[in-house]
Amino acid sequence: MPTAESYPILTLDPNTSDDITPRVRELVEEQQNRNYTHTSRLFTILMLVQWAAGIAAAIWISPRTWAGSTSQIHLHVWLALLLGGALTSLPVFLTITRPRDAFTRHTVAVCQMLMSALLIHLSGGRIETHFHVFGSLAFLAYYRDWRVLIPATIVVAVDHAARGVFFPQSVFGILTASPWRWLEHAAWVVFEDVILVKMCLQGVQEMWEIATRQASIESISLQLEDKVLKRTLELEHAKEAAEAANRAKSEFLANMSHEIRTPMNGVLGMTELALDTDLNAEQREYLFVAKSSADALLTVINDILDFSKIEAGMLDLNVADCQPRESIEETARTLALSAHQKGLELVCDIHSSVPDSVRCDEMRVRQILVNLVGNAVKFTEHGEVVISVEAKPRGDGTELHFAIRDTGIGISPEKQRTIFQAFTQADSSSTRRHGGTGLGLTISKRLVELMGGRIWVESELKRGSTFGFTIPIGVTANPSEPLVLDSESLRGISVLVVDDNATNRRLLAGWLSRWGMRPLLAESGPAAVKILESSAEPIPLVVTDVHMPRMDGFALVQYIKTHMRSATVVMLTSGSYSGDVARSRELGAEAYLIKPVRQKDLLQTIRRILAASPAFGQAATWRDSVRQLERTLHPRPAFGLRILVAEDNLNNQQVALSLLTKQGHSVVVVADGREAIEAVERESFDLVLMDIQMPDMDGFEATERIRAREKITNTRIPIVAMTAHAMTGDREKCLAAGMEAYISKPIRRAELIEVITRVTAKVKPVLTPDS
Amino acid sequence: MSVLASLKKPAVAVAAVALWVASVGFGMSVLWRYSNTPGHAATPLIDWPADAPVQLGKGRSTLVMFAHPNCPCSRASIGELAILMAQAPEKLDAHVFFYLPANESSAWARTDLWESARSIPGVQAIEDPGGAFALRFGAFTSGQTLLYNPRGRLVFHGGITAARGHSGDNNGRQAILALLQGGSPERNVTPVFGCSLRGE
Repeated sequence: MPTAESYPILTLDPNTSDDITPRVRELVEEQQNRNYTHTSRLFTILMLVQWAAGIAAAIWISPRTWAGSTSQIHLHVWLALLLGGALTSLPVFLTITRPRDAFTRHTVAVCQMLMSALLIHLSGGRIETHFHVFGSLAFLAYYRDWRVLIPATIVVAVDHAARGVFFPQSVFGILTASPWRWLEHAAWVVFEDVILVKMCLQGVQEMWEIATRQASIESISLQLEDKVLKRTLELEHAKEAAEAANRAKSEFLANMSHEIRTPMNGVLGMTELALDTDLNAEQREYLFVAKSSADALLTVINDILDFSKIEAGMLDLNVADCQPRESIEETARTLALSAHQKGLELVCDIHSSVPDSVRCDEMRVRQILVNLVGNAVKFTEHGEVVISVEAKPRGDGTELHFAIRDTGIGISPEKQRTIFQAFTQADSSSTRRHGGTGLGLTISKRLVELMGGRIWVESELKRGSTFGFTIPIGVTANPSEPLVLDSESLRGISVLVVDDNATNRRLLAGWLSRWGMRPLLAESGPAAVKILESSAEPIPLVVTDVHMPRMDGFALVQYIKTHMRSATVVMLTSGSYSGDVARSRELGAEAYLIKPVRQKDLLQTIRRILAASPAFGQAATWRDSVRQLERTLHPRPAFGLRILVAEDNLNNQQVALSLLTKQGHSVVVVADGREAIEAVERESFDLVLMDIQMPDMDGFEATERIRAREKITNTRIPIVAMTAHAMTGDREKCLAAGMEAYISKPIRRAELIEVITRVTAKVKPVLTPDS
Repeated sequence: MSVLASLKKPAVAVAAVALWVASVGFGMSVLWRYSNTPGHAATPLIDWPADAPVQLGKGRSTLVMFAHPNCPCSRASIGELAILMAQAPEKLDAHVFFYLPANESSAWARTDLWESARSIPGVQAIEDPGGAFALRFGAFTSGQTLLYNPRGRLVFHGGITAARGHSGDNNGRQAILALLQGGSPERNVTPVFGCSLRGE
């Protein structure tokens, strides 16, 4: 990359340029021509005006000549009209048609002087009219052509000489003028001429000086333009080189991604497969460590690749319509498992101001959330992690404000300043203790900034931290129907909320109040019992956390069902404790929801259990709850599908084959796109797993050809991209090529099962082991 | 455009310029000739008539000028008379007879020229109904000036401008001044430049 110092200092010297004399001459000629034209135009006006003035003067002074009582127009009037017209017509004609010609200038000079003579005569030889001569000479000097003064002076001299001889009184005002008196008059005219000639020469000199300066400036300007052009070309070359380097870097990253993910696919896939076999404890332990290490390595690779993409400026945003509530709640649920495993409460508080549908890069927002919430969970040993989201106006638009608050170890003020820098963690020992590349926050910061938002941290050591960030959102072109929570039937119903976590209590109380219910809050089982016993009216609904100190939710349900059978109970628990469902069912709880609870789910559950009849409602409610729970925790995988795997790498073929076979699918493996097309033409498949980078014919082309063929057969087989390319735009390219979904390598069993289940469910009813 | 185009031919251009020069020359010559062509000379009375409408000056010369009240050229004559009166006020009685057509009222003669004459000290402006006095004194042209000595003898007659409407030094004024100062002028008769006092 060239720097400012690498360029020589720009030097411009008019003296070193080409000879500017021709240009100077050209400029002087241009200026002179402009001057001639302008002055000729002025004379056009002057001569017409003075002609009219001559006629007016004649009419004023001597309108008529008399003979007794009769009169006729005075000859002076006719002469002013005709002779004045003759003296005016030729110069006016020339000044209009040939304003720049020397002949025009000289004609103007002669006629102007003759006009002076006429006016002097018409005015009866008044000495004052002689000033017309001097004024005319000065006017002629506007031409900046001293030669024009010569004919003018000659006319004056000849006129005076002639009159001096024949009619001296008409010009000199006396009868006894010397025959050489005309010379005196001519001398005064010459005196003025000398001044005017000097002025003309000076004017021309200034014209040359100005033209020389302008030509110099033009010369410098041309040099400058030339240099700028050269520099621009150099910069363009440099830019092209930089772009080429960038492209090379991009390709390198893509290849790196591919080359790393392909073997990782083998490592992880085979490890997962091995873990499914009969192993002794020692072998299982070794393989589990190997899988954990591979998972960790994959996280590191993903972080580094993301960071590299951002640094290389190759990370493009995919702004599209999305549902922020669902997306945030889904992300929170994904992260809840790890939080619950540590005994942490994960609360998701989405303010009612958050729109149901917005435009933003949903995937990147989720990535930031996962980073920040993951960190919060990672660095918090006790207490809670709260995700708060609300919408706020920003300029003409809106932005989402996210806050991830934890009760973890906190960050010192010094570290807060560097925490968003690459490869920095609050404590270097953290990396060793908690793992990670230290790139998560840097990536988050870059992503937030890329989306036009900002990110910050507020923290206090040993008290916890709050990471905040904002994301500007756009208005969706086709907003989804707003979620209508019909809570009319719940109005006025008392509900007891039992949770040891204050944030959860506050959140639940807020929702319940908004639905018109009357929430009562208890921070523990005993407190709940106390409220239930002291309440004047029976409380029909209890929403209780399962895991609480002293008296847990199960004990509370047991107490309620024993002592006050009329109350219905909704249990809230984490999904990480197996057996909670069965125990809740045994104890007689009416419904069961996984934390963090979604507002919509809680409302629907409450409405359902309150609406259900005592005889059938309980069973029906349980069935719904359990089904929902099952769907959340263990989606029923597709089974018995006929799947074509197009994959050139033998290890990956083996991984895919094993994973799919174990799921009860029958699998056909081909090595490239051409073979995949032939297989699809030959046999019938429920799904194609298509590698993208294959020899002979890649996955994109194969997919396009399959889709083209399907237009004739009027069928559509789901195709899932399976690639080690995890670079910018790969997902979009796959979808654009006609594929239904995208899995990046290394392929994780759970993800593969989920994608297959999702994709095939859209096409045909999915067979399950039960069926 | 065709005229302009034809003017681009040298011969036509030269001819046009020559024509223009000739017309300007002709105009100038007309102007020159007109300015220097005097009016009809007078046939004045040699002696002051007894039936003159004004008295002969006692011990002073008497100047009589005949003027047409609308003659533009006579403005210069009145101007010259003013100079004369300024240079020799004690030696001269001056009377300017302004022509008044017989069928016109006095207002016809009350022009700026009348006012100019009347405002000159020692000058009397007098109406000349039908030009009778001009006829009596033999004057034909406006600006005609007659100078009679105290004995009633004509000593000068003519104009007191050098050309038509031109003020300034002139033989007439110089002659009258010389006579008033007792000298002998080179000329006693000068041409008169002005409008005719009689209808033609």
